[in-house]
Amino acid sequence: MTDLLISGIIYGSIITIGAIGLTLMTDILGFFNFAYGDFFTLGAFGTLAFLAIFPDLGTFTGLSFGWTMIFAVILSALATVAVMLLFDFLFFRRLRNMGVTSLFMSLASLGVSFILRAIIYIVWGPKVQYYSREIQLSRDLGLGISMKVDELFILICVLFLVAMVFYFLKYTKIGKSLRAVSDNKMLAQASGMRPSRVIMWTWIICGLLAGVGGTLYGIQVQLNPSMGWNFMITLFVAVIMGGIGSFWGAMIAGMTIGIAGEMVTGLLQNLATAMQLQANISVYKPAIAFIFVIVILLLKPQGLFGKPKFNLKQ
Amino acid sequence: MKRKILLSALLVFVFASLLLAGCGSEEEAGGGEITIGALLPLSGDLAEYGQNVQQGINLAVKQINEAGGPLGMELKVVFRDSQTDPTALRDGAEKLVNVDQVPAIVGPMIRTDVATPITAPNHVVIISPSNTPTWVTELDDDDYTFRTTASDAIQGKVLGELAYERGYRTAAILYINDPYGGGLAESTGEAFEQAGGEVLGVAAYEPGEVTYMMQLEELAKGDPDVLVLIGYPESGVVILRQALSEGLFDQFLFPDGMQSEQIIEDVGGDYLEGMYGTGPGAAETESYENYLNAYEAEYGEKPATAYTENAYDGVVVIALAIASAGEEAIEEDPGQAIRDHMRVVANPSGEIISASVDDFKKAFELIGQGEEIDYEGAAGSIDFDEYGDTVTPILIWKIENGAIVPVRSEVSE
Repeated sequence: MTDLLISGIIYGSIITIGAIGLTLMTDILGFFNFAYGDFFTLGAFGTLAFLAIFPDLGTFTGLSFGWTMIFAVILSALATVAVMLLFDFLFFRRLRNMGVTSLFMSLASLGVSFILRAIIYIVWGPKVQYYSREIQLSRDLGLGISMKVDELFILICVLFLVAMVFYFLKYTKIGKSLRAVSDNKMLAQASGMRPSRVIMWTWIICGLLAGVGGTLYGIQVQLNPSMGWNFMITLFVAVIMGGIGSFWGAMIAGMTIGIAGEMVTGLLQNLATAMQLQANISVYKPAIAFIFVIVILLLKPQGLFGKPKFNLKQ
Repeated sequence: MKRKILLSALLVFVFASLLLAGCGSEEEAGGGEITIGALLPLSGDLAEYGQNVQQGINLAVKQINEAGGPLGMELKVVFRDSQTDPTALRDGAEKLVNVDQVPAIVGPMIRTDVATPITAPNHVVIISPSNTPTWVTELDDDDYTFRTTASDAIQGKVLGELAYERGYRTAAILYINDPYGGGLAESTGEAFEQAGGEVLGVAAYEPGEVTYMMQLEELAKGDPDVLVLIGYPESGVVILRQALSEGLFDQFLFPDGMQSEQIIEDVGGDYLEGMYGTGPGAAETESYENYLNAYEAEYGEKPATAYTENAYDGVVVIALAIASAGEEAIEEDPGQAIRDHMRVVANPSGEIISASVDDFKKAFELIGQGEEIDYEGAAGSIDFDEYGDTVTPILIWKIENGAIVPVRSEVSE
């Protein structure tokens, strides 16, 4: 059972990275960006591309990658930001200036997501890829816990990023203006904050998170041109469950979905086996995580940490 | 308001051009060329298979045209991508039937049941190179559905017996949660238990998940000798890597869905060295050798995944059936004419035709003279029974020095 818990925590932490980015973006830009998952994919494949360019500097002890990977992730995250800003310049900025509704913006982002995915398919092909073809064996860390060193790295990396984003939002000037816009757009504008600057910084933070998050997903699972698109449903659920715009909500919801998906399904499967039922509950893992979400939303419609004032018509 | 007018004008224009395009292709069919369809997963989970099968089809089309083409017409093929997704598959089938208006389709690779309700009522023949489940036999298809591969009832039997023969006495089965996986898991388990083994656990999985720890932990209970992994490479590799890195399993058996050298490369190391599997086999016939040589000459490599020869056979049988049906029948109802002549050109009695340009030339000549022919395909003898099924040999393969090597072929009744 502890193995399931650990695999749930790792999955949850990757969801968290994506959900924090998506929740910020949804709140400040005011629409659901369907292309966010494909930026995730772009980040993962970008790292793969930079890995191929740089010389191999060896691997860290115990890990499946080394310094090359660190440089590649940083460059890939920056590249993801650049592509995001380019798409904003080409599409979203124009639509914003036209003053279209958030529904229209979401539909436009759906279009952007198809374009991005097509580009990824054209450049990298439909084949599944891996950063490293070496298999890491799990190590026993005592107390019945066993995990791969890569997984430990992912956890530390997520913790670091979460702390950085938290620091940025809480203590930097631009972070404060992001929060101000999130709280009350009109008031923020009236106090002289430039919306275009706030929007740019939102893209930058979300792009960095997408670039690193996609790479972590790639390390843990695999690289697949449709990975981000498929991941979007989970991210949306995490954002809605946590409450749109809530930093802590995204984190707690992400971890809950990751862990509950594994643990609840595992418990139900054990129950079915104990009752000698021939049931394949494991197949319904996604459904079980979502039932959980529905229950929470019924009890608290604005999400766990959502601002009650928020409604989608806004 | 202006915009609405523009929009509706645009819509009318699009519809009109679609209609015109439809008319155009129909007229051409009577002239110097005939177009058939191919519905393959060129992206998604089965992309690798689909793209190789596409090469097999292109090779067949090239050879048939070198031999003069059916009824002297040039054979052409339109490809539609089924994306390894039932919705896209249905969409592709509808486009082939209604937009491209083809009389026959090679494909789909899986889920024939999705395509049949669209193709059969419209008199379009479909011939699947790889849809192995047992239920394909019983589809309500008005005899428009064929396949050039053996049913999973046969593969499951061979896979289950192979498990016992390899010395495994207990097994766990993990299968992909679709009609292919479920059917094959059942027939494999039955055969293994009949041979004297014991199945300790059976579980299903959804493709595209991030982790499969739950299923793997469940199946590892009781420490079975082997994990029979019935699925496709994309998620299959994720499962293999997790099973290996958690130390839950180190012995595996694979069916045709996993018969891809990509899994060896993607799992890495030599963890899969010495593992066995089953897949569509080819008898050591002249036809198969001709095919392999032609494929290598054309693409510079051997087929990397299974079923390319089955698709090749599909194209050839369709072309021969068109020739056998004659111009009049083809103009009247091409689909029905092809359906009625599939068995005429492929089943016993008549001059044996193997897979080569010379033989295709000979076949077209013999058909012109009213003689009977019997196509012996690259994948097997391609004798369709009353359900449109064929019996092709099952290959047993193993992984040796990082490559998939054939061990032997088993022909079952």
